[in-house]
Amino acid sequence: MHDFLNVWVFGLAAASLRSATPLVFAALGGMWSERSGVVNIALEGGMIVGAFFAIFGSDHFGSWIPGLILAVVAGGALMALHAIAAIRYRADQIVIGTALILFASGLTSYLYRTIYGAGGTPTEISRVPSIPAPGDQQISLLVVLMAILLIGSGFVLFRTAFGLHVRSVGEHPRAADTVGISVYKIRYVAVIASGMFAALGGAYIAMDVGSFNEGMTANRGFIALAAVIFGGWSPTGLFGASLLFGFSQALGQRLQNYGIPSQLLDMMPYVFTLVALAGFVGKTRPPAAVGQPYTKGGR
Amino acid sequence: MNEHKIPAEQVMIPVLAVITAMIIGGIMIALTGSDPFLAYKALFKGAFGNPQDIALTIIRSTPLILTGLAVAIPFQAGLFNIGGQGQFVLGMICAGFVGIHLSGLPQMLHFPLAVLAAALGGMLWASIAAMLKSWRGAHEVITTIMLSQIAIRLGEFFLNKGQLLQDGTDNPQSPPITPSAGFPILWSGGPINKVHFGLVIALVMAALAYFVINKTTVGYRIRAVGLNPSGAEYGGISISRTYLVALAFGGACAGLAGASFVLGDQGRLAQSDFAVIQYGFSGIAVSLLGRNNPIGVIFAALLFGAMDAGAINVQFEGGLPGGVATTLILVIQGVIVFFIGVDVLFRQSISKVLVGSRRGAL
Repeated sequence: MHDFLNVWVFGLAAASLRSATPLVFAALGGMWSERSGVVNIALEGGMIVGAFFAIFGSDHFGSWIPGLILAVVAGGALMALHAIAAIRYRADQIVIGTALILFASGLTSYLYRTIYGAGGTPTEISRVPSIPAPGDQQISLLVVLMAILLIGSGFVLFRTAFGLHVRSVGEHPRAADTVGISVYKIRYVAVIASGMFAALGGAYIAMDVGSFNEGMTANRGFIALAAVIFGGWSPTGLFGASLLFGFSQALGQRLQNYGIPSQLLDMMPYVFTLVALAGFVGKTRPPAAVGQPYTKGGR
Repeated sequence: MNEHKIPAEQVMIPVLAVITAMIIGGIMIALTGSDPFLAYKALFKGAFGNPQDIALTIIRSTPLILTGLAVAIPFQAGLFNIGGQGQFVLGMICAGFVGIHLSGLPQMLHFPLAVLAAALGGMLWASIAAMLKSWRGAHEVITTIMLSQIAIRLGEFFLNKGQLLQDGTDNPQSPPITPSAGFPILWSGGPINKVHFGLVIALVMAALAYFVINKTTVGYRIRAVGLNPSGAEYGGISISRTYLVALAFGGACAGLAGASFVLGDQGRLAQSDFAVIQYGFSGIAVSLLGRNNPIGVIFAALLFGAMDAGAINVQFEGGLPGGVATTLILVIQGVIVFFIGVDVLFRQSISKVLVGSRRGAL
């Protein structure tokens, strides 16, 4: 009985939360960017950059704290490119997102191979500490940070002037501009922040195993993107979606021992999102101005 | 976009994007302590140095032409088919099923059947996105991304637990295809690199795409919907049918790339083909670099195919550490797409140069 509880209740709950955490980080990033009116399909790029620089920083400075800081800065820098292209040069946001996914995956592999080569990243690096949780489980401090950022994002988005500005810029930039909100400034902040959030998601994945591997984010940026949409662009929604996706992943790992193919469960996040997009579980509506470049003084 | 169109732009912007990307790549090579000129020389030699290298360049370019078309054709209708990878994977799966499980057919019947199955698989996968867009208003960028991920898991399923494409070993790979499903060889550049029938398929599809887009009513409808959907609808064109046709055509091309890869190149399926071999995703870069024009796509695919083929030699003769060249090519691809995206930058400088030179002539 005790074993059953540990494996199937606490174990499964903790594993779901662990799988959901990187998704929540990245999805929060996606939410901020899209709420401000900029589509960000490059969350995957932000995650892989975060994963690399978290390990590199931790290895180089000997502590996980500068590792996380470096990851966040790198993710922000990557998305600053997105912001400049999408906002200043009014580039197609999907094209820029695609470019940054290619660029980030190439860049991290390049850095990994030139800095670490065949030996891989060092085995003994400083990792984010864990705190004990019910049922002999260990929960990373990053999970706690995730919870804080999740609640904080909800508060800022819906209860502060800045959040109102972000939402207004994403829904009706012209009207926001008219009342004196700087559309460009808000979008720059939101898009750069989205990279920082995504990087934390990647950092979590790398810190969890304590090393970096090429392509280790394994398309989870796309699951996060799905969580943003499935969750209706809200923190509670995306948290629920990420938890559901995390649960299906954790369940898949357990059912694999019983000969049930995990690939079919891995498919679930994407199938759920398609069904949600098709409007069969209640219509989700994106911010009205999402994807459209804004021209100040234009019409 | 108020700037009047300068025809030279169609060529100048991609060329400038490539040059910019090569310079950035060169700086990164220099940062590793290697000589960028030596590396690029080795890259060029590796891609075109002898018949064997040229054959490899062609082999690597072939699927890229098709996945490039998979993006370029829907783009004409104003659709961004970012999920070519999924359609490519479906093509591989379908080609695999027909190529492995059918036997006793003559080659002239077997391989065309497998090719047809792959085209239909890719077509079906892309059509789901078209239908979700027409009926439910779901954006094709998100649906094709989701469908891609589903296709990758589906492929992995078939190669692992499915017993449908598994070869009976512990490895996630399929048995080899029946020889009669293999593509005829057009030209052997060397003992390993053989240019196969996939090239014919790719070139025919590019020509067909060019013809359909520019010379037929269907193509006219596709372009009309791409330029102005509501105007086209007012003119009596069915938007949903046009979306379906454009995406189905594109999906078929991506599926054919999968057929070419399995039946012409690899001779079997392996799990790493689904997520690691990014022909579908690279098709986006190919299409954008080729300005979404079927003929432009051929040249862009040739460039990326050459980079891919030449990368191996950079390690031998270019002085770069093992495996670094391939990662740099990904960076260069990303930078190319980025600068195509911010083409306003180049457009301003091109018009400055053109206006300046005209003034000089006066």
